[in-house]
Amino acid sequence: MMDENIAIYISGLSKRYPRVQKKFGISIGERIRDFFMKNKHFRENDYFYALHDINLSINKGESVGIIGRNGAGKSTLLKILAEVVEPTEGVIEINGTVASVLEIGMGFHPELTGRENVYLSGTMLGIPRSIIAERFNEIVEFAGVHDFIDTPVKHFSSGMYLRLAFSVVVNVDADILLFDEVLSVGDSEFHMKIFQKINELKQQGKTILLVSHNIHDIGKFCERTVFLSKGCVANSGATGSVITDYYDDIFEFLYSEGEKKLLSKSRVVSNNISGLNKGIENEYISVASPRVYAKGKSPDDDIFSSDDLVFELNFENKNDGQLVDIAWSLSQYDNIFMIFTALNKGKNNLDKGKYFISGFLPANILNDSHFRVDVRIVVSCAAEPERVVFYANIPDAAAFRIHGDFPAHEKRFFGPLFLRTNWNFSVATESAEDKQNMSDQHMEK
Amino acid sequence: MQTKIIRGGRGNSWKQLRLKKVWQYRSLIYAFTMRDIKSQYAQTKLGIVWSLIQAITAALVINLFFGILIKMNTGSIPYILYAFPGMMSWYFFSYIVNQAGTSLVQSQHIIKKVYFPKLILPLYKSLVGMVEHLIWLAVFFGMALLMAFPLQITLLALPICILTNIIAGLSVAVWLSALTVRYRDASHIIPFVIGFGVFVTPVFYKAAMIPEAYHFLLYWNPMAGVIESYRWCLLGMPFDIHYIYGFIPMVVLLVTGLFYFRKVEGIIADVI
Repeated sequence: MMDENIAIYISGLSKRYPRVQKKFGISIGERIRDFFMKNKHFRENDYFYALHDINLSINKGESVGIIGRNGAGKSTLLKILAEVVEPTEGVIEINGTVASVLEIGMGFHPELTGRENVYLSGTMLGIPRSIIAERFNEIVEFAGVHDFIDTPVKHFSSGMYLRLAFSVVVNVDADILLFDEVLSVGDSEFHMKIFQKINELKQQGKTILLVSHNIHDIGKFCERTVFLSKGCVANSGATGSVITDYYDDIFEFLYSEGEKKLLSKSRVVSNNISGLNKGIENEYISVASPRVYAKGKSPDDDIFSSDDLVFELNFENKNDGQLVDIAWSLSQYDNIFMIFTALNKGKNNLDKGKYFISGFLPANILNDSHFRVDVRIVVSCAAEPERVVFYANIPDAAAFRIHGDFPAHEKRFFGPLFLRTNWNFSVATESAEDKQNMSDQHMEK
Repeated sequence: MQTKIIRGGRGNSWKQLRLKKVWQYRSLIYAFTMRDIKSQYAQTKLGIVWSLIQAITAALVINLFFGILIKMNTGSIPYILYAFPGMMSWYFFSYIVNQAGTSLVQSQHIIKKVYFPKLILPLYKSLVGMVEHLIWLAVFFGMALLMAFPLQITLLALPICILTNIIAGLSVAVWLSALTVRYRDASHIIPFVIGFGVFVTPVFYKAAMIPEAYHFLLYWNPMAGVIESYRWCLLGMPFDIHYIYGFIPMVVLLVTGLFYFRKVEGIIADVI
């Protein structure tokens, strides 16, 4: 018997698919052949493993993200847990009721009213009618479709439709929720509602499994992340470090297999990808070789979080009387989080000619992660600074990896910036009650 | 707190059929049935009256052709009352074969996305068909009343007739629905079953019109037995006990069908 605190226990789970879809005739021929062969129905080459020997246990109340490249087996794993797909080998024990959302709006019928669809899709999730009836008002209120609940859903806007469908899933009080790429529905207001709801569910001690390509969703919702690669668990642990590991793998794949000429594996994963550096060239300006490296080190060396960063590029101003502004925008996994530019703008009224600029980003700002740099160039008229004559963005001008030289347990935090500043620690002298009174008095003032 | 165990690999035993699961999900059968009935008549003004019109029209047309023009001899019973139980039973059977037989492929979209015992699909389709069957029955009773035809005590056996009719339909439909998942060719068999079946089953004619030597063929046809049982039940006609043989192919088909269905159910999301 398994531990009471475990919600899902997976042991030796494999899912095997035939490599080729068999045709009727061939299949009969093969069956006859199989009949005379010892090893019936199974020849290694005819099959591939979507999942291979997965062992995983998920505690109650845990929120676990599942990441991996396309074809890594994420959705297959979720489908097996949702019982849509049957495993080839292995045993899974699930403690508690499961609501799985492999697709939003599953089972909704356009001709039926909102009310009827709530009951239908709830029943499909295996929820008793009485519980749906109990939760009905909450479901409708969360979706915000109160006035239209008796209208056929084919007349709903697509947003209303998705909201109602999502609302059913999160309000039916299942113990375990499985989501496959479905959190990004609706407008940003509903997005925030989903965000709140998921946090509420987490507080209620629900177990959540989330498959997503959106790393930021995973980073937001999940304390723990499982990284699947080629059907196996490649890594499992604190979200921040697993995501970094996952991207190490992606960059290794992209730059070692995709474009071998660029760089050797180790340099890409650990380092500044100078091979990405691209410039632009036109009648106003030409920009070449943007690069990022650790101050006082060679551009090929690893960059640590305690290094100051140097951002450099060469450019040529092709006309007199032009103002040139250059900004660096930093992103972590497609999410731009910082733009920095020169403070000393007075010097950017430049004569025609070739220049070299460099900027510094102080140490201990960036987290242990991968970063991409875009370069934005604005060229304007010196006589009329408001008139922009040329604007360009050089995407992926550089990419680099910061190695956090802080303790491993601090690498669990997911996010682009990780500031380590001095805090004052002192022994608390007042009781908690006094503090409360003090802050109340403070409020009154 | 309920605990669920999912195990890879399959055996061949009664337990593997997971009939208990089907029972646990019975509310879904209801939900699906209601969904189909509601959506079927959505946006129609006459709604379920259309089924009534269809049944009455069928009765009139058949009566015109076989009763009045061809003058089929059905003894003391008016032809229309003789033929109608056969027609409605056959119509019900063909509805189940048609709808339940293609139910898995029709619902492939949800099969890939949400779990439920797939046997629910052919089952609920036969319930949807039963709604129409009840309308046809109502038409029959209406005609019997109009013609002042006396109903017998055997009428009490009507639920059993309906049940056997469903089982006969499902015995074919369960096989077909599972077969269509792997081989779409199977769906092309359906028109043959229904198109030819109506000739080898005493729907429009009397079984007595067939030479005695070939009667044994009728005995082994489950639908012949079902239709004769309707006539026994509704019209009080004698029931030839030999029709009981029809149960054998029916039960064999149903049981083997359930096992094959379960086998396909295991891979359905992979291949559909």
